[in-house]
Amino acid sequence: MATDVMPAHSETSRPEDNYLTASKGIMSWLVTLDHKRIGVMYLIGTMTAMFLGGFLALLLRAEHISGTPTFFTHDQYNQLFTLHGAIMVFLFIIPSIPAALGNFILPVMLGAKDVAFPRMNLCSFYLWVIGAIFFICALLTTGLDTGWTFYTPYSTNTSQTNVVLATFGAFILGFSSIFTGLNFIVTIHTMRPPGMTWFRMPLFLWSLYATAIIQVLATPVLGITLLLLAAERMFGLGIFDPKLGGDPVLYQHFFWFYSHPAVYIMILPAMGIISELISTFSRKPIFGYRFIAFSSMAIALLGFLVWGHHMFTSGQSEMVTIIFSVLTFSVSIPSAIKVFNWLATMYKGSIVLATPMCYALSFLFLFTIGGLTGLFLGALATDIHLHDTYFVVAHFHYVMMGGTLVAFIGGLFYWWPKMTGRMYNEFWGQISSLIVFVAFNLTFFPQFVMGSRGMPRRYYNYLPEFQVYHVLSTIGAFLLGFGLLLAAIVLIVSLFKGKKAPANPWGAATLEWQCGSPPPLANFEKTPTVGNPYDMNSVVWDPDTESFIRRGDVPPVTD
Amino acid sequence: MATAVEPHESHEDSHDDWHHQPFSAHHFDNAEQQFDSGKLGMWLFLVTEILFFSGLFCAYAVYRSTHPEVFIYASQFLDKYLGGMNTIVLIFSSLTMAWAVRCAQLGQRTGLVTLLGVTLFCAALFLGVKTFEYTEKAHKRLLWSGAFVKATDIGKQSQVFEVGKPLPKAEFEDRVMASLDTIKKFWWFACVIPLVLIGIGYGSGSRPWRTTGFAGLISIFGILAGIWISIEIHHAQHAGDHADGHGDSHAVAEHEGEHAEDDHGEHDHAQTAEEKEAAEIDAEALAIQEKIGIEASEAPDMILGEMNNAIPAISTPVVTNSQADAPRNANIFFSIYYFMTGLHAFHIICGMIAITWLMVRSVENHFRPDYFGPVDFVGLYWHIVDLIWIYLFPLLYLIGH
Ligand code: HEM
Ligand SMILES: [Cu+2]
Repeated sequence: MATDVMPAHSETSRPEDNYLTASKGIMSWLVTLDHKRIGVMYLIGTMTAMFLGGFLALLLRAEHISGTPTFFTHDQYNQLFTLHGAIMVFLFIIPSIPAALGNFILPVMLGAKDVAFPRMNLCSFYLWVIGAIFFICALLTTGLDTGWTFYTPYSTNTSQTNVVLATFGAFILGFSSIFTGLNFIVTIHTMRPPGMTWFRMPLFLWSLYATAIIQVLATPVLGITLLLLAAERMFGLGIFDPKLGGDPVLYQHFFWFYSHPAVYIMILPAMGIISELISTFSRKPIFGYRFIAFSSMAIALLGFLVWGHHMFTSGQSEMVTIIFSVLTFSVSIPSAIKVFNWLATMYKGSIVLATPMCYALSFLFLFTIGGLTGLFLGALATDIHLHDTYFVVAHFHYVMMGGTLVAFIGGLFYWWPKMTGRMYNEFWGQISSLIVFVAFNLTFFPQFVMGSRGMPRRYYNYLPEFQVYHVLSTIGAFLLGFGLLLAAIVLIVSLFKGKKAPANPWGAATLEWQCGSPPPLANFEKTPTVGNPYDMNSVVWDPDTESFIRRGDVPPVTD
Repeated sequence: MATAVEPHESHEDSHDDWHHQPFSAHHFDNAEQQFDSGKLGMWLFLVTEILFFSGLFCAYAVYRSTHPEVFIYASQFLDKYLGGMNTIVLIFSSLTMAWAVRCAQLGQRTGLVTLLGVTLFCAALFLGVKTFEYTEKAHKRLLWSGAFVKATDIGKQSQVFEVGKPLPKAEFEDRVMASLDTIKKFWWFACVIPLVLIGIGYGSGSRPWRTTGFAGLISIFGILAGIWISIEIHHAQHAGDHADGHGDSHAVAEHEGEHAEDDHGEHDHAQTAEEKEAAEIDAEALAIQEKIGIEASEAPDMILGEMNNAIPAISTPVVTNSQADAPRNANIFFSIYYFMTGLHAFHIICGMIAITWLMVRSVENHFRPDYFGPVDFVGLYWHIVDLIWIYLFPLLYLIGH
């Protein structure tokens, strides 16, 4: 454990220095122990993965412009969707919010100087890099065609591609994820400054805490599963091979025991971001703070009990199916609690439609659809019909992309001024969110329709009756790609052209807005005062600095 | 876990001497917070370790409940004496480890280094015994499921490992001994690296190098001792069969059965050829007698019945798929056995590396009553590794006897 010699943060830095300017040179980044820099490196890494995965997605959609084979053979198509899925899931969406935004924001929001184990944090990043290299190697050598789920016996006996390489990649990424989660739990437990009680923690921290619990409890099971898979493929262990007395459904159980909780690793931090955004931009304290906090924990725990809903059609016993179906329904309760609380927060608030809020509103709409369609899949009778169709594809894209990705971008816009010290162009930001919202629905809504009419997933061609939906979806996908690119451009341009960001541009009351933008190396010059994180009245607009500032610090104002 | 955040007036004031001590990390407020963080972190890590193994325990439970006969049949090929000895060694090493932690807390450096050394030795001993067990099993062709099947037969495009036909019965025991003899003969080769390290250590006056070298030596001696003891135990079991007349437990009977067929060479050094032959005939007769006895008393039990049938063939490569009296897919047991114990052995190796690191640091006098976290944390890790073995041992070795 990284508890031995922990090099001191440079004590010689000048007060006007921030974490970006405190030291120079490429090495000062590569071996940094500063959580903010590690967060930024994670951000760059995961965004690269996202654009790679997105590029593959566009190729996939392009294939569907007509029902006959268009650009790719069926083998190539298999490879495309596998890599798209694997990259998006393992390299982008799981690390995106916790490891990139969370790493940057968590200690600052908490009022700590760093995470508990800075070296482990850096190690986690490099594990991510190594895992990514394994994936890329698989991509460049033989590709991978098992689907991101690596189902046996296809992955162990039939596939001609380099499954072992990709498996090890995912295994290593799993450890990267465990390290992040472990670090966050310990940080939240032991590093809270005086006054930061559990119930004064911003909800983003609660959601990261719940996420970290899942990361720590679920990921090891994936690890052992992947090891068994690799051993099975290399040596013929026999555990998953019926010819040798094994059982392939056991693999599915193991895999989903991780992967269902993993979908909550993806969505919980997104929900945390939304709690922050909705409250800040409605200029109102969050409604039902404790309900939201506890619903995060409830989701984390219930999420462990429902994995069997991915195997409704695998021939598992009826009793088991029914139990899993009932449990699946129960997870939607805490999710719904959150949605209602967000709506109640907005009610009678003075809503500011800044870019982050636009994304937050998109999230509300899209996540609700995604969650509700999950209930169709959790109901046994309908799932028999809908399983392995485009309906499932649309469902998880509504939650993963419409939910997590959209919240991620919203959070990125929100904390961008803090991370970089620059304001982005509000107008183009809003336009990007509009394009993303419309294009997203154009892409995925037709998939619900064709899925419910029987279009199976993972096919590279289709019957003529599905043509219109596929074409709509493909057009939407390219528009969506454009919208995301626009968002990226807006952010990147701000680095060069944006005006300097004040400490607190949004009027939020959480701690990260109390230190400068960008934060100094040790986050706070003096230990911050911890108050109610959602007390919007504690900050007031100060025209001199063009920033919100805490009330106690301003000369008495008449209001 | 309670939080250990001590309220402090202002940040500046809390920059007390603690921050100027050698191993204090500057993002913590005080030593207590640093220790608590490390401890919580370690516990969480141990939780992930348990979950990591729990997947395997789960697989074990599934296959044991669906194929009970396989487990009862195949587990008799494991040597419970060796397993038992390893259990004792590990439990003892847990004691020395806990004691080492105490020494660190009290600032007793010599005690700390010595106890860490003993723990390291025990760990290596364990690995030595495992080396013997694996070698023996490999030569008896007691391998995992896929090892006897051509990859193409199970529809695989490729498989790294392919094993040919089993060896003739007579040969395998010789082979085990031969390969272990090689180790016995050439063990000093393995000592070269640590000796070089020690040399460099003395040459350059660097204590860490020297300590690492010594830790390496301890490990090598431990492993050798393990192998040597296993061989002795193995012989003793067999010699005992002859000496105490005819053992009355099933286990002894089994071993005699084993002898009757394939005692080649290993007793030569102890007995004259004549004696040996006599003993062999003796044992063979006994095995048959025993077998009949068991069959008479327990035949109604289907599973045991199968087991008994297997006794005469026990030392042949029974678990090849073609063997008629072995239950179908008996090798699933060995798949699980190798995977679980292999992963456990890997954890032992990691623990040995960590203990070596602790030894280096304690020789350097890093640990003091107010800073002993790392010893404590590695200690926790070591206990969990022991604990896992304490579950593995009965679940793998002690069923069906
Ligand atoms: C409201 C809660 C949710 C319910 C009730 C639900 C239900 C389901 C069900 C029953 C399936 C299996 C469909 C089938 O294969 O036939 C499924 C698939 C899936 N869900 Fe959800 N889900 C929920 C939330 C989420 C969230 C939050 C995410 C991700 C962030 C997600 C991601 C996925 C994915 C990736 C799959 C497909 C996996 C695959 O087969 O490749 N779900 N969902
Ligand atoms: Cu699920």
